[in-house]
Amino acid sequence: MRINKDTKDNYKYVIEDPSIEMESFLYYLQGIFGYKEINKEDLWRFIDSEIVFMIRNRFKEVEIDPVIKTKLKIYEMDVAEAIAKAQREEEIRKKKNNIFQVNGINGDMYDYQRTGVQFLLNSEGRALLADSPGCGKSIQSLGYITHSGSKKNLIVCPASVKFSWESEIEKWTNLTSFVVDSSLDPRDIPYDVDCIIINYDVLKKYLIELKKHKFNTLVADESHLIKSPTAQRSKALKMLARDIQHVIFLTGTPVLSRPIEMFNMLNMIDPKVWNNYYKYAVEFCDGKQGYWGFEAKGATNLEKLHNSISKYFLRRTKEEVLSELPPKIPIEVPIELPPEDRAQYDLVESNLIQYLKNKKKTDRAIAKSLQAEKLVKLNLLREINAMGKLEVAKEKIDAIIEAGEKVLVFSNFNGPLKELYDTYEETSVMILGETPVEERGQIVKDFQTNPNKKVFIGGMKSAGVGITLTAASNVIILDYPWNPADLIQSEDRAHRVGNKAECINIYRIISKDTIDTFMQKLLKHKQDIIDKVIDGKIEEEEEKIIDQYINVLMEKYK
Amino acid sequence: MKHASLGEIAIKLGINKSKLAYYFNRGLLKPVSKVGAMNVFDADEVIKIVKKINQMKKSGLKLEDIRLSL
Repeated sequence: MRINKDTKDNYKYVIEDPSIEMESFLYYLQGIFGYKEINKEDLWRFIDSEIVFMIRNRFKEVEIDPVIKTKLKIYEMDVAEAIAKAQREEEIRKKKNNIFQVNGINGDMYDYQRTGVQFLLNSEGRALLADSPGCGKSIQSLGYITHSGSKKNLIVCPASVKFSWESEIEKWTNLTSFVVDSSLDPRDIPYDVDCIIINYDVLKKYLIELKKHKFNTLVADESHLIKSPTAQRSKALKMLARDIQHVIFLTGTPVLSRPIEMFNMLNMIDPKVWNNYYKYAVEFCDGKQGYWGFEAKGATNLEKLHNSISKYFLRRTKEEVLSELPPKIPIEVPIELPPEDRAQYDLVESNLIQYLKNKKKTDRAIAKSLQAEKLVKLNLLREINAMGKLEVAKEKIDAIIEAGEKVLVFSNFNGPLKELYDTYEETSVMILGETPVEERGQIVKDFQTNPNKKVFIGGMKSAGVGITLTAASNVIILDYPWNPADLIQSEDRAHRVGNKAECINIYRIISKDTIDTFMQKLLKHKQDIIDKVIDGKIEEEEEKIIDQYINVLMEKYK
Repeated sequence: MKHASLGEIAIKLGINKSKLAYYFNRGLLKPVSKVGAMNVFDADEVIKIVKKINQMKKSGLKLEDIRLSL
């Protein structure tokens, strides 16, 4: 039995000496493929490589003409590739079908975030989501709100992230939102918005009015802040939560290792089960009578606790979801400058404008020589802006340290950096322009190897280039540099080969209605500048940017 | 035989390959992947569709109406 290349007519293949069994198979194939495709005159002849393939599959002993063998090989490879492709696509389809689709979110969520939303829905919106910082807890809670169709929603968070919530809602959903300012009359909280955003500290002031809103869902962000049942903010939140059907707590702090910090949240999520503080403290927190009274700082029976809360507790670490995450996660933290800083900023800004107007009238010819002078005045504006962000930065740093991670903080100004160093003296290291070069290596080593050194404080120019700080998995940018490349350089101090975290959160604190807004837009729309800067046109670009900003200011004060 | 060519599926079903090719050309059967001229189909799905086509044809429906209902 042999399949040969045929020389007659258009037929391509011919079979010599088929066995009886093969012949009966060929008749069967003729019935399937038709007389045109496979025919018998003196010999069996056929056109399609598929038929060679089928005969070969059925009769392994059949010989194949070497000329045909190559064709058959190509056909077999096509079949194998097509089947492999079909299998791959089927796996993707299955995976997609299995992963829950979230309604009402504009944009793509990561798979683990969809799973998170599904978890919140399954727990009927009474849950504690404790993913690591940077995993996107807020978008998951927004996913719950949009998918469940919750109409009236209250978001309680630290003051420093109120505007982050506002921009997240705008970015990801079609929901309307309103940020409660502490000067607002409680009766002026609008009824016709989807999400009211308020900070913990003023909750008590607005409590009575907020209760009238009859919220469907309460999201409590950074909920470790209400760990103490006796704190004012905890009491206020508890009074609100009592009447709200869905209560979602968000925290990035690994609360399970300090179970006592979870009791208050559990009590609000499921008050029927978690209603006895002392029983909980004794069973899960090694609670006992100490010298100063009852103490519950330990962690006991963790497995039992974990099992008991698993239906409303979800935590994924960054390492667990790493394959889905990009190496750098830029997180914009929009804030409003505190009133004193705002007043100072506005004053300096208007003085600057007056100065520029005067100069413009008289000294146009020597404008170039004034560049340095303009820069000094603009830098004063930037430094005030950076100082105004310190409280928010400290809150962020505290949360990062609390989560057991390290952080780099960069600014272009020594003033705010030194103030931060004063606050975190025991747990931080600092490199400024004035730090002797011979000491810098030891400072970096100390930060990289000493577990007690949690915060690296550095000047963007002096510590932003040429050193490796891979012990950190977070970077806080206090202020934008004139040169976008400096920003990228600073962010990349932690994001380098050797960083075990592999995924870095980059927090860029941006104050509203300041030079930041301009710089932020500039960075977004002119990424190509970075390439030019790398080509060595730094000075030119800096000048251009400064001039552009001055034009913006002049327009503003026209 | 999860993924297979139309010829292989025709053999399994014991029907003319040209019939399946006709259904394919009329858009009633869709390949799950394609490499070059090689189309691969989900055999189980094709078998299901062919059974459905046969039933619907018996009840007097035209192939175009069947295609729209699939």
